[in-house]
Amino acid sequence: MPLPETSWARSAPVWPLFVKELREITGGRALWTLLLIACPLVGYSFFQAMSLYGEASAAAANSPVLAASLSPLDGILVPTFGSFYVAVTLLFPFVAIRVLGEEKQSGALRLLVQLPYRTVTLVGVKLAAVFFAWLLCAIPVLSSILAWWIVGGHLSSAETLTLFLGHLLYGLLIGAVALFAASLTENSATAAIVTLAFTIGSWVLDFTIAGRPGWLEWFAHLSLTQVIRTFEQGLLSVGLIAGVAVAICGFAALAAIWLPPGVAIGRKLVRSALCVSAAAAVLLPVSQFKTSIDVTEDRRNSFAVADANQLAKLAEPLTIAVHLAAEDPRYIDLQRNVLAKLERAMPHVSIRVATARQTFASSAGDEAYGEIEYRYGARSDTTRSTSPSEILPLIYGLANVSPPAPIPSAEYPGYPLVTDGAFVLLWFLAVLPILVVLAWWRSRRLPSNSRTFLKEVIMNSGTRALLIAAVAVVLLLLPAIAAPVFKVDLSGETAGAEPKALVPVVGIWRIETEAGKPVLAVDGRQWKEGQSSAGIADKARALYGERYAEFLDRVQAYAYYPYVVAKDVDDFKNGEISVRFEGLSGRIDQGAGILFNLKPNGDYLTIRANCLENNLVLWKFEKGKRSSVEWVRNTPTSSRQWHDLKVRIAGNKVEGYLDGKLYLQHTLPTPVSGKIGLWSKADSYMHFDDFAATVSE
Amino acid sequence: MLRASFAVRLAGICGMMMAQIPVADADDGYCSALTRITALVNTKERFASIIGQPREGNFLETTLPLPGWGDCSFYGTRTYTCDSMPFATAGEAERAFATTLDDIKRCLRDGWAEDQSRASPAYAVLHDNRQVASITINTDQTEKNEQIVRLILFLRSGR
Repeated sequence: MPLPETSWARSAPVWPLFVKELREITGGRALWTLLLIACPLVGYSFFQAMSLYGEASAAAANSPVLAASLSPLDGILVPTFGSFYVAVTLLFPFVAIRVLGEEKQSGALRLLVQLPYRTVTLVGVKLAAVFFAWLLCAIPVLSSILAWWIVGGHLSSAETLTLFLGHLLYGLLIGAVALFAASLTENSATAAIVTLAFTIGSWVLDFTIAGRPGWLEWFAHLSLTQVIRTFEQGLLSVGLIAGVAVAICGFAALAAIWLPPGVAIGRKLVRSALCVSAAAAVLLPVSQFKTSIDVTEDRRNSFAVADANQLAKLAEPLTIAVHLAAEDPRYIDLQRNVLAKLERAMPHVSIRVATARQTFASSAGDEAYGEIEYRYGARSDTTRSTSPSEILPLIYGLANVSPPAPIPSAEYPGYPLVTDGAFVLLWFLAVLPILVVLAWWRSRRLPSNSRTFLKEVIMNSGTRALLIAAVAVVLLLLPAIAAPVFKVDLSGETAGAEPKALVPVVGIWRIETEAGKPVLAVDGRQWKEGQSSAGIADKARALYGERYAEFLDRVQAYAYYPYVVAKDVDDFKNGEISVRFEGLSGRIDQGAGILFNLKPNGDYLTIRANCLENNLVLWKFEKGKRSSVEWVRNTPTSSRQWHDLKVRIAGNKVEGYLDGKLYLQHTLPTPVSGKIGLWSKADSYMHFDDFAATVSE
Repeated sequence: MLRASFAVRLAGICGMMMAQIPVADADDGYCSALTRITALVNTKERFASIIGQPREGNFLETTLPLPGWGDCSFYGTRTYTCDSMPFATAGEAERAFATTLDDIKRCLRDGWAEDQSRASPAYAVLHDNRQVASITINTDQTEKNEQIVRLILFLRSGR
C-alpha cells in the first residue's frame, strides 16, 4: 500500500471525484437547511427593500433631485444580498465542512488519500464542489434579482455582476476556511466551531472596531466582511480580487497540507509556515495594486470626467495631512467624497491622518483639529472644507493648472419605482421553500453510480426539478404580475421620430432628448389647429380595426386638441394612469393631460394640468365639443419643472392627482371604459415621460 | 468683485424701475384699443377685420396691437393675445399682473366681470355679459427666461 505522500506523483480522472463530492453535499441536510432558511430571510429583506424603495420613489415623484438619488444598487441589491451574506456567514461553513468532515469522521479519508490523486487535486475538487454548493445557495438571491427585473426595476449589469462577484469570493473564502478547519480538526463539530469563530469573529470585528483610530483600524481591515464592502460600493478592485484569490488558494493549500493522515505534525507545521510565507509574499505586492474600476452608473466613486482627466495629469506626489479623528463624521465625509476619489484619480497620493491616536472627544482644544493640509510639490495649502468643489480648485491652484472645462455628460436620472411587492412573499415564503423540499426529497433517491448520479444531478435530479419549477412558476407569475402594468419605455426610441408605443392622432408628437434621456414631446409651435397627424387613416385602422371610419370622421372634423393613444391598452376600466410632464413653452397654453374613456366614435375624457393657469380640469369631449366637468383651481404647476399627473379610476369614480396630491374627485354618470392616451392643447410645447397604467380588478 | 457688485445693484435698480411701469396704463394707452377689440366679439365678422398675415404655426399677425404691449397676435381666428414688456423677476411680474387686472376691469367696466371661481394665483378670468368671449390674464416665463404678463381674449362659443 503506497504511502499518501508518494501518491502526489500520480493522477487519475477527477470527474468521478467531483461527482462524489456533489453527492456528499446534496446528500446532507446542511445545504437544504441553508436554502430553506435563506428563502424567507432573503425574501423578506427583498420585500422590505422594495417597500422602502417604493416609498422613496413615491416621495421622489415631485423632485427630480430626489429621484436621481434612487439607485437600485443601494436600495434593492445591497440589502437583499446583505441577508444572503448573513446566511452564508452563519450557515455556509456547515455545508462546506461536510465535504471533508464526514470523510474524516467515518474514516473514509484514509481510503481517499490512497486513491491515485494528488492531495492538492483532492482539495481543489472539494473547493469546486463548495463553489457548486454556493451557487445552489444563491438561488433565493438570484430569484430576487429576476423578480426585480420582472416588475420593471432597473438593473445595471455591471453593478449587479460586481456585487455578485464580491459575494462569490466571500463565499469561496468561507468555504476555503471551512475546508482548512475540517482538515485541521478531528470532527465536523469542532471544525464548525473553528470556522464560526473565524466568520463570526470577523463579523464582530467589523462592526465593533471599524472606524476606530490607530491599530484597531488596521485590525478591522482583516475582517472578511471588508471583502464585500468594496463590491457594494460598485468598485471592481484588481488588488482586492487578487488578494482574496490568494487567500482562498492559501487556505486551500493549508487544507491540503493538513489533510493527509499519518504525516508528522512537525512536518505539517513547517509546510504551513512555508505556505503562509508564500501567501504573504504574494499578498504584499498584490495589496499595492491600486487599480480599480468604478462600475456604478452614477460614478459615485469618481470625480467628474473633466476633473478626473485633469487630476490624472498631475504627476508629482500629493500629500494630504488630515487633522481629524477617524470616527469624526467630517473625516468619513472627506474620505468618501474626496480622499478615496483622489486615490483613484491621481497617480501618487499619500494620506496621513495626523491625529491617528486622537479621538473625536479628545480633540477639544486643539486649534489645528479639523484642518486638512494639501502639499503638492513645494507648495501647500490648508482648508477645513470636506467638499470637492472647494478642494479641487485648491489642488489645481497648488499644481498651478487651470480648473478644466466641464465635459457635458448625461446626468444620472435615478430609477424610482413604486411597485407592490406582495407577490414576492408568496414566492419566497411558499413556492420556493416547497421547491427546495421537493428537490431535497428527490436528491435522497439518487442512484449510487457516479455517472448516473451526475446525469441525475444535471438532467433529472432535484436540482433540475428546482430550476424547471422555478422557471415555470416565474412564467406563470409573469402574466399575473406584468399584465396589469402598461409602461411606455422610451429607451429604444429614436430622437426625432414618432413614438412606437403610442399612436399620434392629432398634433405633432415626437421623441426628443432631455439631459441625454429620451422623452416624448408634443410641439404645438408649428402645428395648425384642425391638423390631424400624418397617416391618420392607417393609425385609425390600427387602433379600431373595422370601426376605424367612424373614429376617423370624428378626428378629422374636430382635430383641435393634440393627443396620442396607447396602442396596447384596449379597454381601461379600473386602475391608475400616470405620467410626468414638463411645460417648456406655449403662449396660449401649456397643457398636459391624461386621456381616457376614448370611444371608437372619438369621444373621450381628459384630466389636464396647465402651467399657465395653475388649475386641474376634467374635460369631456362629446361629438367634437368640449365642456368642463370638474374644475379645480390653485394647483401650482410651474413651467420648466417636471410634475407628476395621475388619474385613478374605479368604475365611474375619477380622481385627479397632481404632484402626488389629490385635487379632483368626480363621479361620472357611466363607468369609464375605453382606450387611454396623452393630451395637450394649442401651441403647448411639452415633454412627457414615464407614462404608465396599472389595472386593478 | 466691485464690478460684480455694481452689476447686481444696477440690475436691481432696473428691476425696480420696470416694476413701477408694468405695462402701459390702460386709461391713457391700450384701453381704447382693447375696447375696440372686445367690441368685435359682438359683430358678425368677429376679428376678421384686424387679422393680418400668417406667422409660424397657427399664429397670425394683427393690425390692432395694444399700445404698450408686445407680440400681439392671433392664434387661429378666435384667440387674440398680447405679452407685456419683460420683468426682471417673477415677483415683479406678479405685481404687474395685479395692476393689469385692475386696469382692464376699470377699462371694460360693466360689460365684463371677473370669474372668481376660475381664478388661481397669477391667473384671472373675465367673461363678457353675453358669455360670448373671455379674457384670461396670467404670468409666464418666456423661452428667454423673461417674466411677462399675458392677455388672451378668445371666443367661447363654436367649439
